[in-house]
Amino acid sequence: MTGTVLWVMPFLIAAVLLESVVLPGVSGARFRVDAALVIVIGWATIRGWEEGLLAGLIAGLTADFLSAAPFGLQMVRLGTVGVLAGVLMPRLARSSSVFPIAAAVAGSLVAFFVGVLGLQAAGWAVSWEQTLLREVIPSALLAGACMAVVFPLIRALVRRTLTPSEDAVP
Amino acid sequence: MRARQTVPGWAAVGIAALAVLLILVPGAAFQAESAGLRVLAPIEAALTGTANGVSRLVENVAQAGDLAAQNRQYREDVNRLQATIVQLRELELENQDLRRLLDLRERAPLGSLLSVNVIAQEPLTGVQAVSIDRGSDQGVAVNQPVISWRGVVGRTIEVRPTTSKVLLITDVNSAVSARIQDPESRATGSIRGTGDGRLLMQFVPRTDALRAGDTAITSGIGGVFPPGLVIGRVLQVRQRDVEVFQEALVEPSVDMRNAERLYVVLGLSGQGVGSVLGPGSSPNPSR
Repeated sequence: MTGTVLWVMPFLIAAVLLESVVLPGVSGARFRVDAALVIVIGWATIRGWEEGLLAGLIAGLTADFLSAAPFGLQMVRLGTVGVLAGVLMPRLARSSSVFPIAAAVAGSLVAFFVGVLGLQAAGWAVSWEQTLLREVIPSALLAGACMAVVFPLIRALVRRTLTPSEDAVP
Repeated sequence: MRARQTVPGWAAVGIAALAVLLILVPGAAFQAESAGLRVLAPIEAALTGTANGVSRLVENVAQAGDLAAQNRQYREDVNRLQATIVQLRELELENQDLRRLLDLRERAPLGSLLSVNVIAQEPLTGVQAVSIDRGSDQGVAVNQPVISWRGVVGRTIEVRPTTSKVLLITDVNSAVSARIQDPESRATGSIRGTGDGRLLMQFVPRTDALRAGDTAITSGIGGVFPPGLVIGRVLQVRQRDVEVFQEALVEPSVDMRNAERLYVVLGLSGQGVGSVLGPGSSPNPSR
């Protein structure tokens, strides 16, 4: 079952590199879409918490290489979101296509707070109130909009990678 | 089978007689020629124009191969020249950058400077840091100042063999000892990031003069940043009656989002003598 997560691995790595290397140079905006987070939530929604966790760890490890924050924090952050999305979302996503979008918005906020807690646990100061209002909430809304486009693509990728014996895709 | 129709004999004789008449009678020949030319001249002109056009077309088709090759050559030349112009502009910017840096070197005791490029921005929201393309292999160590000709950018906090991570002064975890560049004031304090791209100068005694528009520079206290580097410009001063200290909101002199040509101060010589190391050069010849 977890073998299919290998299919999404290149997309996760590309997403992290895109948001960290390419997008900051292109966009002057303070907020930016967390593309890796969107893919992790989308993948976990369809494939469950095990693959959500794996996808989160892969994206987190890549982000940890580029981050100045304590090593492992990104893995914890994205892994947590992957597990939560994998546990809560599969049933909801079957009932309405709005849920994955809502999950992207909520997941962005959860990821931010996990990141803040991790930084504070490591002894870093964080001005989370300002960051939340100016960066995180606009980024979360952008992630929701991004999910509306990305989720059908992830579903198509999962369908393509599934073997006949595996579960039906929501 | 029907017999082939021929011109009647009387008509042939008539036409021949008319021809003889035209030849023998000079006036009639002239009239006939004029009338004929009046009809034929436009047709002749049109035909000549068409023939010339066709001739030119044939000529062009014959030369089409040469023209295409010439066109390709011109395009290659244009592309090459455009690339050269871009390169020259970049060199001009770099030249300006280095001139300003030399100017800065005269004012601040900078040691060896290592030219670095920003390769990635911090992916974690809430942390303001960048990755640069030089590491311990090029002599970079933890806690070295990173500057641009405009002023202070940050300090290295993590160093790997080929890359390093720089915590920007705008991050809330950064703190720089600062003073105001004003001979009358010389107010000192500590500047830290606010997390929203600006800086806050704190612990400035209320008795010290602090005004909007003042320039904040590094004081050199603390040992990480050499004295005299520009940090930013005071935007707003906040004073409260009950407090001993005043604080000021400071706009950083460096645009952290677009910072691209940066320098790591490898060693603080304190004598103002050093060298600017280009990308790819190593400060340690033994490496």
